[in-house]
Amino acid sequence: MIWANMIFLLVALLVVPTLIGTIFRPLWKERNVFFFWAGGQVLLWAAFQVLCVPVILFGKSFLLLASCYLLVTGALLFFALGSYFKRRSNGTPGFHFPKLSAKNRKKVREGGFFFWWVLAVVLLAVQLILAVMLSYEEGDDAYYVSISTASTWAEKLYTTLPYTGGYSGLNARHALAPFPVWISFLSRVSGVEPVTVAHTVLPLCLILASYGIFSLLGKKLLGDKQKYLPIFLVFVEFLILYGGYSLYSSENFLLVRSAQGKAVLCNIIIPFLTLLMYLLLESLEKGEKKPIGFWVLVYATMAAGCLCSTLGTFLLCMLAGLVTLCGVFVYKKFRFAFWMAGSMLAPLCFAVIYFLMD
Amino acid sequence: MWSSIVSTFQAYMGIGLLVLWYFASLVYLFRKEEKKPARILFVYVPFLILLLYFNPLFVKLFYLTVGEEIYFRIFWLLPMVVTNAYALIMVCLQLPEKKKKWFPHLAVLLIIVSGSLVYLNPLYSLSENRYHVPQTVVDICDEIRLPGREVMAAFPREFLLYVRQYSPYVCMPYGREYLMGTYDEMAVLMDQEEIEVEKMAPLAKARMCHYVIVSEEKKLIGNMEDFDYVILDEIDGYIVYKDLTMNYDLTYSAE
Repeated sequence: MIWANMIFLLVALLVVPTLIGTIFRPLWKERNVFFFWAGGQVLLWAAFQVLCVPVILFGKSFLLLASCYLLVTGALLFFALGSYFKRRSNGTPGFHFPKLSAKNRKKVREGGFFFWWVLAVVLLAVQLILAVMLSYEEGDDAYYVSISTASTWAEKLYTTLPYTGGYSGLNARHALAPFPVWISFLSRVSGVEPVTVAHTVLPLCLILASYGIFSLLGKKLLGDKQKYLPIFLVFVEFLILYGGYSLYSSENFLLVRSAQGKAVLCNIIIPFLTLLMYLLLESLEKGEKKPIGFWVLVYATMAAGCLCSTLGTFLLCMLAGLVTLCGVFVYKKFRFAFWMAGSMLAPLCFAVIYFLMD
Repeated sequence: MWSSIVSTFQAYMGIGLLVLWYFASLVYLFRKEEKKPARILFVYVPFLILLLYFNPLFVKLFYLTVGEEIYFRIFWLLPMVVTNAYALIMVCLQLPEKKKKWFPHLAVLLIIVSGSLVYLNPLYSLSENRYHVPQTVVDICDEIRLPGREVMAAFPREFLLYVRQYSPYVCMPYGREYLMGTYDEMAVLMDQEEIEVEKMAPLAKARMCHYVIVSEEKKLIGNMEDFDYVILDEIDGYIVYKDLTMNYDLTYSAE
């Protein structure tokens, strides 16, 4: 039974954000499930952050948080499906199941690239299998996973000492990045233990998503040399597999601490923000204006980063700020800088609360 | 401060050459990349990040507001993996058609030689269950659990990381802080090869431990029964002692 629940959770983790992400269909030239997934998931994470922090700070119950978040997820899903049917009636549906046409099949096989596609898929499969088969003696899990486990059945969040279970009063500093509570939510709705969600289910989803975002960046960078994408992906996979040169590298975090907020920050949120910044700079170059949906996605990504790690507030503002600076300097355009400044408001608010609580 | 910045940088570089390849890629892209968005994101911004990283004023501000120990996370803003992979593709595209076929194989070899396989870390082991927690911890926690309430149990050091991950109902008198160097008298006593029951048992009682778990390999100096302990079970080479003087009332609540 528990295995069925785990599979249900994994499918839900992949499908629900993808469906919600179809809202952002106009932002990406092709229909791409990875873009949809990332767009939908950052929106869901941003919503969770906005709901969770007040619940923790005002000492409200986890049940209230879970109910509100379910409602928001349902509303977003409803909105996404509504938009899909609206677009379908206009002849531009946002989602279709990916399948290879005869022409694309031929493209994949041409010029020896088929080997690289197979290698990329095999390497990914190996990493996913090892994520389930191997366990790692990770000290920080004793903190984060214990919070998830305690939160699942606790009346109030962040009020117990994760290492021992003693009562601590409100730990507001760590509560500002409540990624472990999101794991508790997944556990509560699926019936799978938080420790299983963190160590077995989530790594499958997050490693896959991370490579998906790397593939999107590869697509953008390669431009009209798309046939080199499988080789790019194989390079990326080997660079990550052989990223054990340091315990601090983001590559190491992806494979070792997959379900920790920090790993999500450096392997999903930061690469996705980089991708969004690429889209923005492309538009600046072409003199195009970005639609409101794009800015929703940027703002959501910034808020999602705050969910993952308290330092996320600082790192994302730093990245956004430097890109803005370079964009203004290179393109001599200023209007987008106001939008970018606005995107830093949410992280700044969380940073202010952080320093007030510290 | 400078030495701390450099040592953080060295710690991030670690044992491999991949960070050096990243700097080479950065220079290569600076010379060859023509698309402005790519230049900004993969050359100019990383360059500014590196400038800030080594800027004493920025370091001072960071250390003051956030803390020294997580300064390495600034490097997460450098897109090392994507830049290295993209630079390799760019090099490949510049080569004549015949060499183009072989270059990716050589590049993969170069990555393997320059890096270190994550899975070779000795802290990896085959999972014993879906929780990725030692099965002994699962068995002991299930054995001592009382429905609807928490219990306090003193575990040996090898289990301290896992108990609270698996069960929210089992509390411990000492946890990971002890492994990180925080002194705890009871933990020190439990950690000895020969455990002095006369010293350890009163501490366990004072800290309201319902259970004390001891490895069969450890030698007990003294008799646990003298302090009202009985053996509840023996699980995978560990003896679970139960304190008969503690409250096991199912309606008990710590709050």
